[in-house]
Amino acid sequence: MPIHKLTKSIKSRYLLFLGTIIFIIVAVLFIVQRSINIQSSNTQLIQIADNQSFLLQQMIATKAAFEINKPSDKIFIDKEQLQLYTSEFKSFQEQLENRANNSLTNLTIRELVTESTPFANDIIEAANTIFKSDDSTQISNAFTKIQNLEPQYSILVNRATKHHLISEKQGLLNLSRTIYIFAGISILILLAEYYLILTPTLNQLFKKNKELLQTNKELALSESKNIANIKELEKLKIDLEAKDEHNKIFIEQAPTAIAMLDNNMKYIAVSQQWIKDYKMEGQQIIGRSHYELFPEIGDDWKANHQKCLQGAIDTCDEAPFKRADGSIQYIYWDVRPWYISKDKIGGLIMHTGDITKAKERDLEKNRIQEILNQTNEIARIGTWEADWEQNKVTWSKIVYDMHDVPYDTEISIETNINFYKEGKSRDTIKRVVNEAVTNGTPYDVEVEVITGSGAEIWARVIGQPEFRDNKFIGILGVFQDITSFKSTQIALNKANNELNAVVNSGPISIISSNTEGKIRHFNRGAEKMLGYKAEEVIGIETPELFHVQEEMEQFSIDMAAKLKQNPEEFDPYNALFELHYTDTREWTYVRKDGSTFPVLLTITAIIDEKGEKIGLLGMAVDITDRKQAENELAKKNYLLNFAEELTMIGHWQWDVNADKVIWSNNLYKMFDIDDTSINLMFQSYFNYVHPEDKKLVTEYFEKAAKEKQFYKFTHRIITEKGIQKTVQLLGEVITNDKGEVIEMFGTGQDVTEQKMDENKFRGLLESAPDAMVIVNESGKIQLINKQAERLFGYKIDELYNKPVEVLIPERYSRADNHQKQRNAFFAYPKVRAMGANKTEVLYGKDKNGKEIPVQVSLSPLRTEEGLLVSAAIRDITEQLKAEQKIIQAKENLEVLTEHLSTQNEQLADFAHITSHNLRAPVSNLNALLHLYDISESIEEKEVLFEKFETVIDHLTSTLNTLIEALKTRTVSEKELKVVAFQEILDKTKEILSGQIINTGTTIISDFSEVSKIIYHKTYLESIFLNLVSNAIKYRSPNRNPEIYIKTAVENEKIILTVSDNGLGIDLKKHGHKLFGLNKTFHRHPDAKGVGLYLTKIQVETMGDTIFANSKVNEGSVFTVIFNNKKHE
Amino acid sequence: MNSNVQNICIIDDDSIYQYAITATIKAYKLAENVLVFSDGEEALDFIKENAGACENLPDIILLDINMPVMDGFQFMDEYKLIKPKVGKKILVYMVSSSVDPHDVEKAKQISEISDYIIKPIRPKELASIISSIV
Repeated sequence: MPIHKLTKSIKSRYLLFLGTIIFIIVAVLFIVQRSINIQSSNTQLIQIADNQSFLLQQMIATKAAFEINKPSDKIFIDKEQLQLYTSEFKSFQEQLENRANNSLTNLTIRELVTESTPFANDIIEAANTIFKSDDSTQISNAFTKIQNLEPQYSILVNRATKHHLISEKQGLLNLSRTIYIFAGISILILLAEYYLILTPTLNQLFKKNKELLQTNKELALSESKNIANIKELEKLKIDLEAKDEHNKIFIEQAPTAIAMLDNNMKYIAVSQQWIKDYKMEGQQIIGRSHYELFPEIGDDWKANHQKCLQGAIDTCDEAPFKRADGSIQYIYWDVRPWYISKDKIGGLIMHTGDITKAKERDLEKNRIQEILNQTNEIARIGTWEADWEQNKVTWSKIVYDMHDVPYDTEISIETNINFYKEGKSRDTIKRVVNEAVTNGTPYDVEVEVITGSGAEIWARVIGQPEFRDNKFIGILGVFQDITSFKSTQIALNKANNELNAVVNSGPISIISSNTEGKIRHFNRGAEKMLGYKAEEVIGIETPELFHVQEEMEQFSIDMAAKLKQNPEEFDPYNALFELHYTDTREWTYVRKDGSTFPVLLTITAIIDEKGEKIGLLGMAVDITDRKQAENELAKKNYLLNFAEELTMIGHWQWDVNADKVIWSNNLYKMFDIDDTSINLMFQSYFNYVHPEDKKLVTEYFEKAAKEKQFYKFTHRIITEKGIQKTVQLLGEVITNDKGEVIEMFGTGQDVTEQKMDENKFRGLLESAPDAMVIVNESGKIQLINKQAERLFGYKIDELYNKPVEVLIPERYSRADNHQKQRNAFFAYPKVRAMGANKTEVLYGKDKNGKEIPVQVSLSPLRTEEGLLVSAAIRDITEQLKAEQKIIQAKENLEVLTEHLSTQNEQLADFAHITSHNLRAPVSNLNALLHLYDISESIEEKEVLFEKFETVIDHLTSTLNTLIEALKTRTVSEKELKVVAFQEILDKTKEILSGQIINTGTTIISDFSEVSKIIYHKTYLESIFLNLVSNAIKYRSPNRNPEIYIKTAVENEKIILTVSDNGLGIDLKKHGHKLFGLNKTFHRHPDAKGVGLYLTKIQVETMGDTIFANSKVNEGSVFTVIFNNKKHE
Repeated sequence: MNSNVQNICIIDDDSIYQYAITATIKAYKLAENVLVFSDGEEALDFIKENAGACENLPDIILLDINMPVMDGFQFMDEYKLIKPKVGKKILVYMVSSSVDPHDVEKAKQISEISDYIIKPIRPKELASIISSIV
């Protein structure tokens, strides 16, 4: 019954009840009032009657008084008084009669009054008689009549009074009786009303009240649950915020420069390294815009950021970043979005690194290496001469080579200068040449030259201005590019050849004179040489005709010196005879035309058999060419020495058989020997060899003698001055026809500085942050630094001259054919980075065969040993780790996001459930209530009440499930225990024992692979219970249930599978809602759709995964994957 | 309220709802017959069997969403396939206590569904639905 109807019914019944009571009260009041009225009316009547009686007395008394006052026979009556009384009596009598006629008046009294009326009339009449008559008798008679009537009247009055008293008593008695009866009846009515009308509704009221109380209680309960839910939500929110905070802290403490930005490019979090890298110490960063902090960022970068905010990833290994203060920072970066949810980007994570220092060091290293390369290269030197008169520049071949132009190219001073690079170099050359021309200042400059093929080379140009007769005629000089050593050697050979040519050519003049000094003989050679005919001079002239006076004087002085005689008045020719001496020296001959030329003249005194003087014989060779050549040679020698000095090279010759050693000047200088006249032998050289290198030197020379080939080698010497130097020897072995070694010659170069450079280079190598491996053209390792030793675990000795493939995992050398690649590199040497592309990591292999991730940078290195390759190898293990870490962090963030999304989903799910699963029963309640309102029969209402119960049961169970689900959300570490699967299964079996027996279920378990797990015990029990009971519940009617439970490890994760042979589920149809609340898939009476929902919540709360595979009518397999759970 | 609606079909697994709606229809005499099915499949089977017998087919279907075996949407998918064979125009109303916007949106996408009514469905609403086709 609806409450408002109940209220209405109760109200009406209550009113009825109240009305009855009021009616009763009114009735009682009426009765009593009536009784009182009667009584009072009677009483008044009696009083009036009494009064009448009194008045009558008074009337009688009027006579008496008269008699007393006037004692006579005459009756004296106070008529006036009497009249007054009589009228009063009369009116009262009327009143009395009126009242007596009143319905209320007692019947007896009425009769008595009626009875008294004649008496009263008589009395009044008598009284009237008295008034009217003056006759005393008449008066007296009348009076007597009154006196006689008075007692009769009084008796009546008295009787009436008496009756009145009695009737009053009787009235009271009647009244009380009436009241008693009435009260009795009233009580009976009320009781009847109470029981028949009020009680049923009250009962309903009480029942309703009870129900309301119950509902209230339930409401309070659900309210408290709701509060708990809200608290739970609040907690989740705080949790989320805490996790957010955690991310921020993670980023703030990251060892690398990381910044987390929101969608508006505002900072959310930033690492300390970031602050350090970008010099933002003490600045407010969080909440500020990236572009506000970096106003220097250009539009192109901003565009990139926008792309990243759309999901792109922007990485860069190296880029200059021009800061607002003008400095340049080299940075690498990795900018990628982070996700709030699967598809929603929350902002950017920027990871950058400041590689400015590394970059600067790199540049510095390259520069030094460049210098080293240059110094390491043996200087190639060419000579040149510029003839100002003919405006012709003569280059040695090497200079042509160096200029990369054909040998026959005509070079003028102008064209030569044009080879120098326009700008500084050309200006420099112009300036120094001008200085040489005008002031005679020699120069030595380093300038850039553009060769004929367009290549740029650096050249050291040395110029020495030449003067003839104080007149500037030209400049001769040296042009140095690279291998000056080889070029000078060629120059030397050339000079020797030229010398030989000179020696072997030219005519000989033979002139003899007699004792008088006259020419006796003048051969053709002389004729040709001097321009005289024989007949012109024989017997006519003395040979002095051809000589220069100064030379003859000098000759005289020399001869005098030999004989220790005074040169004054000295006859040198005589002296020749005396000494039997043959003098050979250079003379200057004067031709017939007056021109002079140099000759080598041998003068011999000729005597006959008897010792008589016959004359002098002079044999002369025109040495003009030779002289020229000699001059040339001297010049060349000068240049050679110059070159040798420059390049610190000397040359040597060793006559093996005679053990005679010849050194060039520079070699002496190199050995700090001042005296160039000492006789050098092999031993003298050997003495200077550093004691520790003596063995090496011996070995090399023996090897050269044996193999007839001289191998280049380097050893140390200790010079005359005690200075330690390093020299490098190159040589050739000369053999005779029999193949015997007769001579060795070659060069010695002071490579101390190079060595020092090499040491420096080594130092540089050692100080390089990366492992360096230097490989020669044939792929053999030449040098590695300490870092490389550390990285690969080899010592240099173990690797020297080993193929570089030793350091490379076999799969590269096989698949990529490293050797081929290496050859390709040597064909086109240039700096190349390997393994720098992100997609593929390059690996090196250490001594133990362990692979190391590396980045390799190759650069060609020109040295005296030829082209080498230096490989800078950077161990990127840490970098990869850091990268991995970042990726991990990112993945963690993603997992977290995923987790949060899941939580969101669960919350949404929960909200949906609360809306749907609570709305459904509530709407049912509404519908039922409405039906209840409109229902008319009790039976109908009863049925509805039953329905109410069902709905409320349903509501309660839904609430319980939701509470269960909510409780599941909190698991602390403490609650995790080592749980044995068997133990859980035993408990499950125990709980389900009834069902298992009734259905004939067989449960087979295999926990041999994983027997225990660290888990929340209650959850695991619940999971088992739900999965096993489901397997039984949804069994196939055609067969006994068989359940197979197994644990295993897959991909390092524990896996639990529960398989059955039951009905199976059509996953295509129901897969998406398999684990939803109140989702059922079978028309099974017990199907409630709660078990799997709770199981999924429990599994997911533990961070695990559950899914199902199933075939309709074959069975289902539920799989739980325990992510990251340890198995004891 | 006199009506010439012959059959109303209720497809809902909620027995209370079944009872309530049936009682309401009876109480207000909104239809002659009430057909009640606990899930989509049962209803579909019935419609298939009676595809030719118009007098047995419902005029109006009140369809729940969440049901076992075959839910409301799955029913609609199947119903669309057999609709051409059904010799009667049947109005389908989705009646659910789900206020999930996904469900509402999904229901709107299906042209065969006349409206989406969120439970509880009031007798007046029911009456107006029925009167719409009378």
